Amino acid sequence: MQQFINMFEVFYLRLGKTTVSILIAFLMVLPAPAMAGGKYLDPVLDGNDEEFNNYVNNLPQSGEYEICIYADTEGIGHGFIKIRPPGGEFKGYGFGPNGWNPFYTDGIIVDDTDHVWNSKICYFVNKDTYVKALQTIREWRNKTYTLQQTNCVAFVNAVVNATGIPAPSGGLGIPRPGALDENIRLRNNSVKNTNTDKSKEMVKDSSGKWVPEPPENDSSQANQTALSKNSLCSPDDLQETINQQVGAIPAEIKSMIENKQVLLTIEYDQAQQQVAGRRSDTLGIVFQGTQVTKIDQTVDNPDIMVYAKVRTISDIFMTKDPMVTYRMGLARGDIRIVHSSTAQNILISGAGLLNKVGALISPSQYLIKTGEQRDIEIGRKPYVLSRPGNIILLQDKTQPYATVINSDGAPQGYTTPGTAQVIKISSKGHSPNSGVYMNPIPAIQRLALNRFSIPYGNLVARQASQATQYTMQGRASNAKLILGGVGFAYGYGR
Amino acid sequence: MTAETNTQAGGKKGIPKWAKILAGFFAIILLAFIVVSLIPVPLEGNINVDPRNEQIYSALAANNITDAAIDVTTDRVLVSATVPGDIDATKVKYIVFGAASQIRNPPPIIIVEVFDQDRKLIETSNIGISTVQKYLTGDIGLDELEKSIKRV
Repeated sequence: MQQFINMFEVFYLRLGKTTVSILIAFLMVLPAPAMAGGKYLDPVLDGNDEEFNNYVNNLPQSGEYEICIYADTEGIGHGFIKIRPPGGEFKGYGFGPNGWNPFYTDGIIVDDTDHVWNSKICYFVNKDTYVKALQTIREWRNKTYTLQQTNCVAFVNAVVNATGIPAPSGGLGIPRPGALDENIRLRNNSVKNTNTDKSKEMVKDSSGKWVPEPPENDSSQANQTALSKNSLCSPDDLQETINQQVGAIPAEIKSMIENKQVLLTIEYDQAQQQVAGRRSDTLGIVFQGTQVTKIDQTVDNPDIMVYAKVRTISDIFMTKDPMVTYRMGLARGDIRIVHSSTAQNILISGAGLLNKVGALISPSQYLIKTGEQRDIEIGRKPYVLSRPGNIILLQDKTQPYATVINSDGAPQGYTTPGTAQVIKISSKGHSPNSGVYMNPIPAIQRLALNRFSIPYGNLVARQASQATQYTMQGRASNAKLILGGVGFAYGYGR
Repeated sequence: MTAETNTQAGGKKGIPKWAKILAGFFAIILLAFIVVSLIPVPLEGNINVDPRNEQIYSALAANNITDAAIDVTTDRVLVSATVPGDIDATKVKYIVFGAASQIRNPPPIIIVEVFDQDRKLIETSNIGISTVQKYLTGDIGLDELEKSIKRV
């Protein structure tokens, strides 16, 4: 490394700062070798149509192509596939959210080659069937992710349907990993993962019996995407999340939902409706006491019907202060509650009116004037709330970044206090979106885990994917910069 | 006359005073409900993060330039950045040029404001994105690229 530094210093002094700076800055736009993050690029995910077609055409006409379906029910569950051309290595593909809102966001196909799993089932197929699987994977690169419909197991189902292999599905209703796992295990040729480390594979021994993978073949852990570990995949995860957070639910909400069947209608905005091809989705939630015992597309006899905008639902999930976001959403009409009992409806209307009066008289504590700054507490933790310009900042003093929030306290993105200062002193007229990022710096990636642990993994995976995409096309990789020969900085994805 | 008076008196007796008060009370409640429903509850600070901003920011962040506001609109890419102590303004500028020229649907102009650690303006420059792209494809050389940079 020292030699590199010395070489760079000589290079730098001889050629002059400006020239070297230009060269360095443009190194990132040179066609890079087909590697990113230590892995070879994938023509299925990263190639353009021509590259993909070339890859497909070069696949052997005959031989044993293999498609495997995997279910993971450890913690946040997941369903994914692994495929292998004749003589090739298995490559795993999974689908997940590429944003904060698990109820409606951009989807992303991630590398699940080393993802943990509980059960799998494999099929040998011909080239045509294999190519159909590849095409489905490519199609799903641009799908919208919704927990309630197009989730991780729905992707597995789509591959199964497209290829026509007789594989098990993720169950009736909303696809879910638990059902996929159960259905896989029902098949005679399924394989159960008996490894201690569930990311390891099972291999056949000389007698044809499935045994844990020997340690020398262990390729696990290193490249496991955080997406797969952290994102919500199905209503099962949502159920677990709600039950874990039940202690934080205020008494007034608890009494409303106790032993009730709730039908939540998730309403899309106009742009989302055009993409989704429907106005809304529903989730039926059954409470026993205050614990969720079931979430599916609907419930038989709903006691309460809740209509809510998808962004409002996401905001409630993401914020550190969900009651403020909930009350403001209710006051604004973004959340509407209808009870099966008329008397309850009158009470709800009265409470709604009082809530709105309260919201008008005493607005959210996060609605502050430009230039104002004050100390606040959320859950007994001190924060600094400020509004240096257009944006409202919520900063935990111990962190190097600030969360950009709206006046309901719902996070919008992240920035650094320095960035906010730069906008303030700039004479160029920045727009409100300026300087707000979902994922500013690697340090922030690590620290920005919110209470539901949704964004970190998604963003890492997305950026890694972007990096590979740009590199594949021989263009600037936004994540890969060679900094003067001194080091290799891979901004995102690490 | 007497009968008419009696009818009027009887009519008045038909709606007791307490009922009128109650009706008035409900009318006021209803009116208040309608009025309150019509008053919007303020919501400020909603932001739609532009992934193109983040794409350019990632190039800067990877070089430890973390105090940087990226603002991509239809007209221009505007970058206001504070340079860390170990990097010169020229390098920041070229990283921005390179990254901004690669975003999806790039606007025609890149404007870069570079500030020092004390937030004093070092330089403001702009360049056409097509010029940067020409440099990247080898259609123009470094000299021409440098000449195309306008310092404001």
